[in-house]
Amino acid sequence: MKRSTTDIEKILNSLDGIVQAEARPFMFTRVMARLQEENSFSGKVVNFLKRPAIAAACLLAVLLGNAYTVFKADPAAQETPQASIPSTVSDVLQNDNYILAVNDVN
Amino acid sequence: MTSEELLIEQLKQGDGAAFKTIVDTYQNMVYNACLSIVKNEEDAEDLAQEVFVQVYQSIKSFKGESKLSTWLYRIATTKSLDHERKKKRKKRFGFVKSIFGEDAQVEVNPPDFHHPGVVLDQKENAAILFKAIDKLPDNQRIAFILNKIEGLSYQEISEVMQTTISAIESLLHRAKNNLRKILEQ
Repeated sequence: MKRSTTDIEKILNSLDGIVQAEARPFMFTRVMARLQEENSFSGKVVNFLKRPAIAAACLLAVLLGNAYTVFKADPAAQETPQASIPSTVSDVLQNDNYILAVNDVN
Repeated sequence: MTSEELLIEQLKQGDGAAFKTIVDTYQNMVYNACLSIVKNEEDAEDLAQEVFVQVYQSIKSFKGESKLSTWLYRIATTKSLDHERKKKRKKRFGFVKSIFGEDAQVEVNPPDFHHPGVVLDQKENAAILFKAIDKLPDNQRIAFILNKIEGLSYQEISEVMQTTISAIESLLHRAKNNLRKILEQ
């Protein structure tokens, strides 16, 4: 339902005669407590880390570290040992899996 | 040197008594400005404290080109708008989390705000008006609140918002027109 122009004007004028809201007492004490908290070492560290630029820089450093590890790592060290088919009898006998398989059959 | 200038000089030298005088003098003004923007008493109280903490920490950068009250209004409005933005971001994030089934509270219909300073028989209309004010763009909202609730003149609002008087006149004109359109629906 649409409001009439009179109603709208009444709503617009509803703040006429408004008085100031009062803050709770002892604001100064609470402000001082907050200042002390902010001036403490832990408070300073938290505030420093909460800065968007610092947080973004930390994230970037972690990502760059990861990228460096992935791309610069020694490829030889990353190679996984591959199982090869034993060519000689002695190789077969040295193969643990073969021995285990024989034990299972027995 | 006026008493205000003297007070600022004393605070710059780290005088605790001068800071207490500033907090005691301006606490209601700052609290009221924050309350009109964030519409929550606890948040407004918290923000008012933050404003005074910032005043204490950055008083040395205050050059005295404007009145202390103007500077306080500027800090209070900036902090309150930042708080509102953070709250909206949290609300959006909470909604996304709720879609993925995580336990997040999404406030669908926030309760009506009743300003403690509004005349009793106008409380209902004022609550409707506060809801409509919320839908205005930030600069129109601040200009309207400073004028209608804080009772500042166009000159004072222009100093707080660091713009010209004609810009404030235009902002308030547009704010009233937009409010009429919002209230018509």
